[in-house]
Amino acid sequence: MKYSNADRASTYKGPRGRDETVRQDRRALGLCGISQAALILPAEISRKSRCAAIAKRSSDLALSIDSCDPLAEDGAQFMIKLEQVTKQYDLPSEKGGELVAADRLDLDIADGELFGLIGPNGAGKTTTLKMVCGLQVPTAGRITVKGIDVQLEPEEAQRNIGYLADFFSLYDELKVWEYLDYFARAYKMEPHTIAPRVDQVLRLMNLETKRDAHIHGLSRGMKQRLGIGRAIIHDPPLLVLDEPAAGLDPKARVELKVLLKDLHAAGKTIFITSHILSDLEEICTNIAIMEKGRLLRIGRLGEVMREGKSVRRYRVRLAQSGFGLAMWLAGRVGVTGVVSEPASANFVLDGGDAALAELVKDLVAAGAPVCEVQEVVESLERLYSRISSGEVM
Amino acid sequence: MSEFAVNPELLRNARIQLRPGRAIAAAVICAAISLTAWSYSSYDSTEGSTGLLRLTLQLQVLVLLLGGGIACLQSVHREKELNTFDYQRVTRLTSLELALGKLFGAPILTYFVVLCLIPLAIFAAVLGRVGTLLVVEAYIVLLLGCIAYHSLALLASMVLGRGGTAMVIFGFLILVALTSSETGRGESNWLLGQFSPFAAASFSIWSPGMPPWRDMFFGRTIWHFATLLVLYATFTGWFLLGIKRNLKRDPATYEIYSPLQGFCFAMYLNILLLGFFNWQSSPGTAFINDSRVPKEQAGLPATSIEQSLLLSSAWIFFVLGILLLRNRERARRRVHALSGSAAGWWASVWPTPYVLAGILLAGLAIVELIRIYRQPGQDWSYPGALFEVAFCAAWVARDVLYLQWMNLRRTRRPLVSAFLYLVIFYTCAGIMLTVTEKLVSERAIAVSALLVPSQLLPRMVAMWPANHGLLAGILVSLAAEAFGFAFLQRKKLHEFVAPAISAPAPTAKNSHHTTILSSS
Repeated sequence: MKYSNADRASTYKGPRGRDETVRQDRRALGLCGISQAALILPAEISRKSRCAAIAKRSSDLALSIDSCDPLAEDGAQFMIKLEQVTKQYDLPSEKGGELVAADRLDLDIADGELFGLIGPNGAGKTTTLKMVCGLQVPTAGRITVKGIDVQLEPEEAQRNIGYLADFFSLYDELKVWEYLDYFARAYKMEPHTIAPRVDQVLRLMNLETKRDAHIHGLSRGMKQRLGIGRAIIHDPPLLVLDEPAAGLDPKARVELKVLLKDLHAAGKTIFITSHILSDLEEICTNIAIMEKGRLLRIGRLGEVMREGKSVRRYRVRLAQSGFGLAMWLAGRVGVTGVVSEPASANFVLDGGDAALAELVKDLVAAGAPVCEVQEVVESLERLYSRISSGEVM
Repeated sequence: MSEFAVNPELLRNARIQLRPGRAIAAAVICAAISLTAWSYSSYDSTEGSTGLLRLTLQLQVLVLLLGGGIACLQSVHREKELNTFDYQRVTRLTSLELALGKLFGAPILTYFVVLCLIPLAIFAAVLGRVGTLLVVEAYIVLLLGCIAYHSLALLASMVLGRGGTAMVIFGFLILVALTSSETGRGESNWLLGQFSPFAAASFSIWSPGMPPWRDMFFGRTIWHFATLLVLYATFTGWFLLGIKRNLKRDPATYEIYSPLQGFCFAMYLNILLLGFFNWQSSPGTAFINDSRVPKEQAGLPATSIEQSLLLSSAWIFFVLGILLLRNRERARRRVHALSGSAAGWWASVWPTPYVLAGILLAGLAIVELIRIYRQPGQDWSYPGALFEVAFCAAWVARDVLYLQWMNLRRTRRPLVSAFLYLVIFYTCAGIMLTVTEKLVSERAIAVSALLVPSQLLPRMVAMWPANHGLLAGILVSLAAEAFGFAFLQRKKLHEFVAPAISAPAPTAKNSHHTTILSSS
């Protein structure tokens, strides 16, 4: 049965064209604390998902999801792979000719990532997402999803994808359950699994009470949840979400974030774009910053934030004032930009972690009652605006 | 069959359109219409009852053909405007499943209305003592005919751009009107009876005393019912093929038919054109002792027949050429895939090889059929006719190459503006040449064919014996014009090649490291 929790093996074509068998251990996910009734696990669940589940079970937050994913580290298993993908559009000659929405993009998204794509309007985010889903054909380059070439085998690739567009639109004349039922059938799910699956998704999306309501009567937040429900109805391992938070009120956005985190924890790979950077900052494991069809930064969120800065700023707080912290820092080699506050100071330090460790050691030796040392992390919004304005390249 | 019944798209349309309230309302309206029609008709006589049957069938055709056709015309287009079509494209439904779901799902309410009116038709058929076979035939024609028209409407809906709905609906209505005339019954030289599903109503009034309703195909008599079945089935097949090939594709890369498929479709249309023509009516006499062949039409001279058929074939292949035109996106993708060879001379003459081959083949067939069936007199010249075929082919090739070149320009809707320029050019040149026609010599008019080749066609056969050289020169000049447009197309293609080859790719690394990309 397609949605049983039993162990099973499934074969798929790997990124190098060979058949690979992924052993699924659904029982591992059963330990992760997420309701089995609410979350149906992907058919080809990855090692990374199991790691995520185990990490959650043991509450060992120090265990990084990425650190236990050797397949992803050696590059053998990517959910999405873009190779030199280019998309050019024509603009009328009076508007400047050609628009390059994607300029030779190379991007690998490992299985189990929650990957955020950030960029201004017209950066090429939606085009990139549509190309991943096989909805637009790249002018050049190759895209694979789970090792399947999207151009050569679009239907095979699309069975692994749940897609939500930026201008989401639903069939207003249908009832909520009919809408999910339609897509379950369109994804060719086994007939006997459709009704329970529809009920499960309605529960997961908190729409059980609206089961028989017509879609035109739903609020925007409910419609958005229904749209996500449609995207996961066939239990795809990959969700491609284009601006899912657009137009939602703060409460609905919080609910959406929780939902995305749950889906991610259940093993879904999520490729998401958003204008609301603080949302991405909270949920994404990796991000890419895109502008004018090019990827300016790609990487893990923390690394991108750090790499975005040419120098690192720290804040030292003392248990009590009176030490002369600002003066001590100003006299030290490698420290600049000291900003003094009562019992604390902000400063810029050349060098990496070793230089910081040395400084803290000396500061404690000098008798300073150090109670907190913290790297000052700038927000994603700030980083993004600096990068996109060319301050950092 | 059961798989078709659970086609998700069909089910979705049924759920939306046949909700109990709406279905009951439709059924009540149909019942009211039936009762009204029954009470006003003189059903006590056989004629009155057959009249009621005919009226019912016409009403059913009207509802299904026009109502269903308009629903199909909007089916894909509306989904695109609502942004729901992409969701259908990413499902596992195949193009054919999606197409069939829309083909029968979009007009499902009109099918229901037709079903509700069937009791009235049966009642009228029983009272009018119309044979069961005739009623069955009528409904088969109605159903298959409407499916063929709906397939065309669905194809149009798929390729329709934003804002063109009203115009396409108008075009659809015109097409229905044109094909609903009874061409085989004395109004023209075509030996094909009524083509549209309105023919179903005519089936019902046939009685044993009347002559059988038959068509002529290359001189062979065919039962009209069989003709319609074959034509509806083949046209539905062609249209569904186009839909299947493209429905789930990126609209920017639509290609209705592959070049070979398009060529075969154009040849099929030509075979129908030539097959249903009344070839065997020699001047002054009708081919068959049948009032259907008009005496005044039967005596068309061979030259006129050749020119009219040749022009019809040329139109068909002109449309084929338009279907095969490459837009900038396709040209760009070819350049990325094939590099420099995508801008070679062979690519620069696209799509004329198919157009030329088609017109030459069809033209030769026309000339041969004229020789076989019409045995033309001294006023007809075989080499002149062959020259006419070559002239027509060069003319169409020139215009198609012009459109292809214009289609590669960077502008909004390049093909539409190219068409407009072409229409304006022919209109202005035609007016100018008509005005000056009386003032200049015949040879000067012949030279004017370099601009407007249609000017020369009516005179060509007459001029041929004495002006071989001049006409050959005009043909060469026309070919040179075509090569001029091919040259321009080549230049455009080279514009695509240059940036694609020269620009270096930026370096990029995978996502497992923070990557800063050069912003060259």
